[in-house]
Amino acid sequence: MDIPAIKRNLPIESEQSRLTLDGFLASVQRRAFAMARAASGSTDDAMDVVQDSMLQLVKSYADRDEDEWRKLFYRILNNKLNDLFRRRKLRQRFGGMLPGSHSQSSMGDDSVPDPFDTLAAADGDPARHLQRERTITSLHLHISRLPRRQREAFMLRCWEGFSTIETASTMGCSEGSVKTHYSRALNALRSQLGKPT
Amino acid sequence: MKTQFEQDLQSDLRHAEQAIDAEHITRLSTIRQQALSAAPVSSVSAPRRLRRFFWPTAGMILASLLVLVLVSPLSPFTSAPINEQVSDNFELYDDLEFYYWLADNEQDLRG
Repeated sequence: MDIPAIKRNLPIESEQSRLTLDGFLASVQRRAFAMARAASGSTDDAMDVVQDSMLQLVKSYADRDEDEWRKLFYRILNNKLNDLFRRRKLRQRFGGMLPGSHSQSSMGDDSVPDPFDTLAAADGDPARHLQRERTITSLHLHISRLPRRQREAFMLRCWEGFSTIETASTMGCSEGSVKTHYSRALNALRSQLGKPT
Repeated sequence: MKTQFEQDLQSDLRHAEQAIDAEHITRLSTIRQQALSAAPVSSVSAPRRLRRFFWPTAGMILASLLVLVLVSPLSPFTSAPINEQVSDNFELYDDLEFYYWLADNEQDLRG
Protein backbone atom coordinates (compact mmCIF):
# COMPACT_ATOMS: atom_id res chain seq x y z
CA MET A 1 0.00 0.00 0.00
CA ASP A 2 1.61 3.23 -1.14
CA ILE A 3 -0.79 6.13 -0.91
CA PRO A 4 1.85 8.88 -1.33
CA ALA A 5 2.89 7.18 -4.59
CA ILE A 6 -0.70 7.29 -5.84
CA LYS A 7 -0.93 10.98 -5.05
CA ARG A 8 2.33 11.58 -6.87
CA ASN A 9 1.24 9.71 -10.00
CA LEU A 10 -2.17 11.26 -10.43
CA PRO A 11 -2.57 14.88 -11.46
CA ILE A 12 -3.79 17.30 -8.82
CA GLU A 13 -7.05 17.97 -10.61
CA SER A 14 -7.96 14.26 -10.49
CA GLU A 15 -7.32 14.02 -6.76
CA GLN A 16 -10.95 14.85 -6.06
CA SER A 17 -12.06 12.02 -8.39
CA ARG A 18 -9.74 9.61 -6.63
CA LEU A 19 -11.15 10.57 -3.25
CA THR A 20 -14.70 10.18 -4.55
CA LEU A 21 -13.92 6.71 -5.88
CA ASP A 22 -12.17 5.81 -2.63
CA GLY A 23 -15.23 6.96 -0.69
CA PHE A 24 -17.52 4.87 -2.88
CA LEU A 25 -15.40 1.73 -2.51
CA ALA A 26 -15.17 2.27 1.25
CA SER A 27 -18.97 2.53 1.40
CA VAL A 28 -19.53 -0.81 -0.36
CA GLN A 29 -16.60 -2.89 0.86
CA ARG A 30 -18.25 -4.35 3.98
CA ARG A 31 -21.44 -5.34 2.20
CA ALA A 32 -19.62 -6.67 -0.84
CA PHE A 33 -17.39 -8.81 1.35
CA ALA A 34 -20.34 -10.07 3.41
CA MET A 35 -22.27 -10.91 0.24
CA ALA A 36 -19.32 -12.67 -1.36
CA ARG A 37 -18.67 -14.62 1.83
CA ALA A 38 -22.30 -15.65 2.16
CA ALA A 39 -22.45 -16.73 -1.49
CA SER A 40 -19.07 -18.46 -1.67
CA GLY A 41 -18.84 -19.80 1.86
CA SER A 42 -15.18 -18.88 2.04
CA THR A 43 -13.50 -15.83 3.53
CA ASP A 44 -10.43 -16.04 1.28
CA ASP A 45 -12.47 -16.49 -1.89
CA ALA A 46 -14.71 -13.59 -0.82
CA MET A 47 -11.68 -11.36 -0.32
CA ASP A 48 -10.36 -12.29 -3.79
CA VAL A 49 -13.75 -11.62 -5.38
CA VAL A 50 -14.03 -8.20 -3.74
CA GLN A 51 -10.47 -7.33 -4.76
CA ASP A 52 -11.06 -8.33 -8.40
CA SER A 53 -14.33 -6.40 -8.45
CA MET A 54 -12.73 -3.24 -7.09
CA LEU A 55 -9.86 -3.52 -9.55
CA GLN A 56 -12.17 -3.93 -12.51
CA LEU A 57 -14.36 -1.01 -11.47
CA VAL A 58 -11.33 1.25 -11.04
CA LYS A 59 -9.66 0.16 -14.28
CA SER A 60 -12.69 0.11 -16.55
CA TYR A 61 -15.36 2.38 -15.11
CA ALA A 62 -13.65 5.05 -13.00
CA ASP A 63 -14.57 7.73 -15.55
CA ARG A 64 -18.27 6.79 -15.53
CA ASP A 65 -20.83 8.86 -13.69
CA GLU A 66 -20.78 8.33 -9.92
CA ASP A 67 -24.44 7.33 -9.96
CA GLU A 68 -23.60 4.34 -12.15
CA TRP A 69 -20.84 2.95 -9.94
CA ARG A 70 -23.09 1.09 -7.49
CA LYS A 71 -24.93 -0.88 -10.18
CA LEU A 72 -21.73 -1.51 -12.12
CA PHE A 73 -19.92 -2.67 -9.00
CA TYR A 74 -22.59 -5.20 -8.04
CA ARG A 75 -22.80 -6.46 -11.61
CA ILE A 76 -19.03 -7.02 -11.58
CA LEU A 77 -19.27 -8.68 -8.15
CA ASN A 78 -21.91 -11.11 -9.42
CA ASN A 79 -19.81 -11.90 -12.48
CA LYS A 80 -16.73 -12.55 -10.36
CA LEU A 81 -18.75 -14.85 -8.10
CA ASN A 82 -19.96 -16.76 -11.15
CA ASP A 83 -16.36 -17.08 -12.36
CA LEU A 84 -15.46 -18.48 -8.95
CA PHE A 85 -18.27 -21.06 -9.09
CA ARG A 86 -17.22 -22.10 -12.62
CA ARG A 87 -13.64 -22.62 -11.44
CA ARG A 88 -14.89 -24.67 -8.49
CA LYS A 89 -17.03 -26.81 -10.76
CA LEU A 90 -14.04 -27.38 -13.02
CA ARG A 91 -11.95 -28.41 -10.03
CA GLN A 92 -14.63 -30.80 -8.84
CA ARG A 93 -14.93 -32.33 -12.32
CA PHE A 94 -11.23 -32.85 -12.87
CA GLY A 95 -10.38 -33.61 -9.25
CA GLY A 96 -6.71 -33.47 -8.37
CA MET A 97 -5.51 -32.89 -11.93
CA LEU A 98 -5.68 -29.11 -11.64
CA PRO A 99 -3.23 -27.09 -9.56
CA GLY A 100 -4.62 -25.73 -6.29
CA SER A 101 -7.39 -28.29 -6.23
CA HIS A 102 -6.83 -29.08 -2.60
CA SER A 103 -8.09 -25.75 -1.40
CA GLN A 104 -11.40 -25.78 0.39
CA SER A 105 -14.38 -25.64 -1.88
CA SER A 106 -17.39 -24.67 0.13
CA MET A 107 -18.32 -23.60 3.61
CA GLY A 108 -14.94 -24.15 5.12
CA ASP A 109 -14.00 -23.49 8.69
CA ASP A 110 -13.33 -19.81 7.99
CA SER A 111 -16.59 -19.20 6.18
CA VAL A 112 -18.56 -17.69 9.01
CA PRO A 113 -17.42 -16.04 12.21
CA ASP A 114 -17.72 -18.06 15.33
CA PRO A 115 -20.79 -16.78 17.21
CA PHE A 116 -18.91 -17.08 20.49
CA ASP A 117 -16.22 -14.66 19.23
CA THR A 118 -18.70 -11.83 19.02
CA LEU A 119 -20.74 -12.81 22.05
CA ALA A 120 -18.51 -10.96 24.47
CA ALA A 121 -18.91 -7.72 22.55
CA ALA A 122 -22.68 -8.03 22.35
CA ASP A 123 -24.94 -5.40 23.81
CA GLY A 124 -28.05 -6.50 25.69
CA ASP A 125 -29.19 -10.08 26.09
CA PRO A 126 -26.39 -12.55 25.19
CA ALA A 127 -28.89 -15.36 24.55
CA ARG A 128 -30.76 -13.23 22.04
CA HIS A 129 -27.50 -12.21 20.41
CA LEU A 130 -26.41 -15.83 20.13
CA GLN A 131 -29.75 -16.74 18.58
CA ARG A 132 -29.31 -13.99 16.00
CA GLU A 133 -25.80 -15.15 15.17
CA ARG A 134 -27.12 -18.66 14.62
CA THR A 135 -29.86 -17.33 12.36
CA ILE A 136 -27.31 -15.37 10.33
CA THR A 137 -25.01 -18.39 10.01
CA SER A 138 -27.94 -20.49 8.85
CA LEU A 139 -29.08 -17.72 6.49
CA HIS A 140 -25.60 -17.50 4.89
CA LEU A 141 -25.60 -21.25 4.37
CA HIS A 142 -29.01 -21.20 2.67
CA ILE A 143 -28.08 -18.19 0.52
CA SER A 144 -25.05 -20.08 -0.76
CA ARG A 145 -27.33 -22.98 -1.75
CA LEU A 146 -29.78 -20.86 -3.76
CA PRO A 147 -29.65 -21.18 -7.56
CA ARG A 148 -27.45 -18.49 -9.12
CA ARG A 149 -30.11 -16.12 -10.46
CA GLN A 150 -32.25 -16.42 -7.32
CA ARG A 151 -29.23 -15.64 -5.17
CA GLU A 152 -28.36 -12.60 -7.29
CA ALA A 153 -31.93 -11.30 -7.17
CA PHE A 154 -32.10 -11.83 -3.42
CA MET A 155 -28.77 -10.15 -2.68
CA LEU A 156 -29.58 -7.11 -4.81
CA ARG A 157 -33.25 -6.69 -3.88
CA CYS A 158 -33.30 -7.64 -0.21
CA TRP A 159 -29.75 -7.14 0.98
CA GLU A 160 -28.60 -4.12 -1.04
CA GLY A 161 -32.12 -2.70 -1.24
CA PHE A 162 -32.23 -2.08 -5.00
CA SER A 163 -35.62 -1.52 -6.63
CA THR A 164 -36.92 -4.09 -9.12
CA ILE A 165 -35.85 -1.82 -12.01
CA GLU A 166 -32.34 -1.36 -10.62
CA THR A 167 -32.01 -5.08 -9.97
CA ALA A 168 -33.17 -5.90 -13.51
CA SER A 169 -30.66 -3.44 -14.94
CA THR A 170 -27.83 -4.88 -12.82
CA MET A 171 -28.72 -8.49 -13.61
CA GLY A 172 -29.33 -7.74 -17.29
CA CYS A 173 -32.83 -9.21 -17.39
CA SER A 174 -36.47 -8.10 -17.34
CA GLU A 175 -38.33 -6.86 -14.28
CA GLY A 176 -40.62 -9.87 -14.54
CA SER A 177 -37.66 -12.23 -14.29
CA VAL A 178 -36.39 -10.38 -11.22
CA LYS A 179 -39.78 -10.70 -9.54
CA THR A 180 -39.89 -14.42 -10.30
CA HIS A 181 -36.33 -15.12 -9.09
CA TYR A 182 -36.77 -12.99 -5.99
CA SER A 183 -40.09 -14.56 -5.06
CA ARG A 184 -38.66 -18.07 -5.45
CA ALA A 185 -35.60 -17.13 -3.39
CA LEU A 186 -37.78 -15.78 -0.57
CA ASN A 187 -39.98 -18.87 -0.62
CA ALA A 188 -36.93 -21.15 -0.49
CA LEU A 189 -35.38 -19.22 2.41
CA ARG A 190 -38.70 -19.07 4.26
CA SER A 191 -39.12 -22.81 4.08
CA GLN A 192 -35.45 -23.56 4.90
CA LEU A 193 -35.42 -21.21 7.87
CA GLY A 194 -38.71 -22.67 9.07
CA LYS A 195 -40.60 -19.38 8.94
CA PRO A 196 -44.39 -19.35 8.51
CA THR A 197 -45.73 -18.03 5.16
CA MET B 1 -43.39 -2.56 0.30
CA LYS B 2 -41.32 -5.16 2.09
CA THR B 3 -42.89 -7.89 4.20
CA GLN B 4 -41.87 -8.45 7.80
CA PHE B 5 -39.88 -11.50 6.72
CA GLU B 6 -37.91 -9.45 4.18
CA GLN B 7 -37.28 -6.70 6.73
CA ASP B 8 -36.03 -9.26 9.26
CA LEU B 9 -33.70 -10.81 6.68
CA GLN B 10 -32.34 -7.43 5.66
CA SER B 11 -31.83 -6.44 9.28
CA ASP B 12 -29.96 -9.70 10.07
CA LEU B 13 -27.76 -9.41 6.99
CA ARG B 14 -26.86 -5.80 7.66
CA HIS B 15 -26.14 -6.65 11.28
CA ALA B 16 -23.72 -9.32 10.03
CA GLU B 17 -21.90 -6.70 7.93
CA GLN B 18 -21.26 -4.65 11.05
CA ALA B 19 -19.93 -7.72 12.84
CA ILE B 20 -17.05 -8.18 10.39
CA ASP B 21 -13.91 -8.24 12.47
CA ALA B 22 -11.17 -5.62 12.43
CA GLU B 23 -8.66 -7.90 10.71
CA HIS B 24 -10.91 -8.31 7.68
CA ILE B 25 -11.72 -4.59 7.59
CA THR B 26 -8.00 -3.85 7.49
CA ARG B 27 -7.53 -6.32 4.62
CA LEU B 28 -10.44 -4.72 2.76
CA SER B 29 -8.91 -1.27 3.18
CA THR B 30 -5.59 -2.57 1.86
CA ILE B 31 -7.12 -4.13 -1.25
CA ARG B 32 -9.12 -0.94 -1.82
CA GLN B 33 -5.94 1.12 -1.85
CA GLN B 34 -4.26 -1.41 -4.14
CA ALA B 35 -7.19 -1.18 -6.54
CA LEU B 36 -7.01 2.62 -6.54
CA SER B 37 -3.27 2.55 -7.22
CA ALA B 38 -4.03 0.56 -10.39
CA ALA B 39 -6.25 3.34 -11.76
CA PRO B 40 -5.06 4.57 -15.12
CA VAL B 41 -4.46 8.31 -14.89
CA SER B 42 -6.58 9.07 -17.95
CA SER B 43 -9.61 7.23 -16.59
CA VAL B 44 -9.89 9.42 -13.52
CA SER B 45 -10.71 12.68 -15.28
CA ALA B 46 -12.77 12.69 -18.47
CA PRO B 47 -12.65 16.49 -19.10
CA ARG B 48 -8.86 16.40 -18.89
CA ARG B 49 -8.75 13.60 -21.48
CA LEU B 50 -11.00 15.57 -23.79
CA ARG B 51 -8.76 18.64 -23.49
CA ARG B 52 -5.70 16.54 -24.22
CA PHE B 53 -7.13 15.29 -27.52
CA PHE B 54 -8.73 18.58 -28.63
CA TRP B 55 -5.72 20.41 -30.13
CA PRO B 56 -4.16 17.47 -32.04
CA THR B 57 -7.57 16.60 -33.49
CA ALA B 58 -8.35 20.20 -34.41
CA GLY B 59 -4.90 20.56 -36.03
CA MET B 60 -5.39 17.44 -38.13
CA ILE B 61 -8.80 18.62 -39.31
CA LEU B 62 -7.42 22.06 -40.27
CA ALA B 63 -4.49 20.50 -42.15
CA SER B 64 -6.86 18.18 -44.03
CA LEU B 65 -9.06 21.12 -45.02
CA LEU B 66 -6.03 23.09 -46.23
CA VAL B 67 -4.83 20.20 -48.40
CA LEU B 68 -8.33 19.76 -49.77
CA VAL B 69 -8.56 23.45 -50.72
CA LEU B 70 -5.14 23.46 -52.42
CA VAL B 71 -5.59 20.22 -54.34
CA SER B 72 -9.23 20.55 -55.28
CA PRO B 73 -9.87 21.08 -59.03
CA LEU B 74 -12.33 23.81 -58.06
CA SER B 75 -9.66 25.65 -56.12
CA PRO B 76 -8.38 29.02 -57.50
CA PHE B 77 -4.85 27.85 -56.62
CA THR B 78 -4.72 25.04 -59.21
CA SER B 79 -2.49 25.74 -62.27
CA ALA B 80 -5.09 25.91 -65.07
CA PRO B 81 -8.82 26.29 -64.97
CA ILE B 82 -10.57 23.03 -65.71
CA ASN B 83 -12.69 24.54 -68.46
CA GLU B 84 -9.62 25.69 -70.39
CA GLN B 85 -8.01 22.26 -70.18
CA VAL B 86 -11.18 20.56 -71.33
CA SER B 87 -11.76 22.91 -74.25
CA ASP B 88 -8.12 22.45 -75.42
CA ASN B 89 -8.63 18.71 -75.40
CA PHE B 90 -11.83 19.02 -77.44
CA GLU B 91 -10.03 21.10 -80.09
CA LEU B 92 -7.30 18.46 -80.29
CA TYR B 93 -9.87 15.71 -80.82
CA ASP B 94 -11.71 17.82 -83.41
CA ASP B 95 -8.51 18.25 -85.46
CA LEU B 96 -7.30 14.69 -84.96
CA GLU B 97 -8.09 13.65 -88.51
CA PHE B 98 -6.16 16.63 -89.84
CA TYR B 99 -3.09 15.63 -87.82
CA TYR B 100 -3.35 12.02 -89.11
CA TRP B 101 -3.60 13.35 -92.69
CA LEU B 102 -0.65 15.64 -91.99
CA ALA B 103 1.45 12.75 -90.72
CA ASP B 104 0.57 10.57 -93.69
CA ASN B 105 1.35 13.28 -96.23
CA GLU B 106 4.37 14.79 -94.54
CA GLN B 107 6.74 13.01 -96.89
CA ASP B 108 4.80 14.10 -99.95
CA LEU B 109 4.67 17.68 -98.81
CA ARG B 110 8.43 17.72 -98.19
CA GLY B 111 9.11 16.07 -101.53
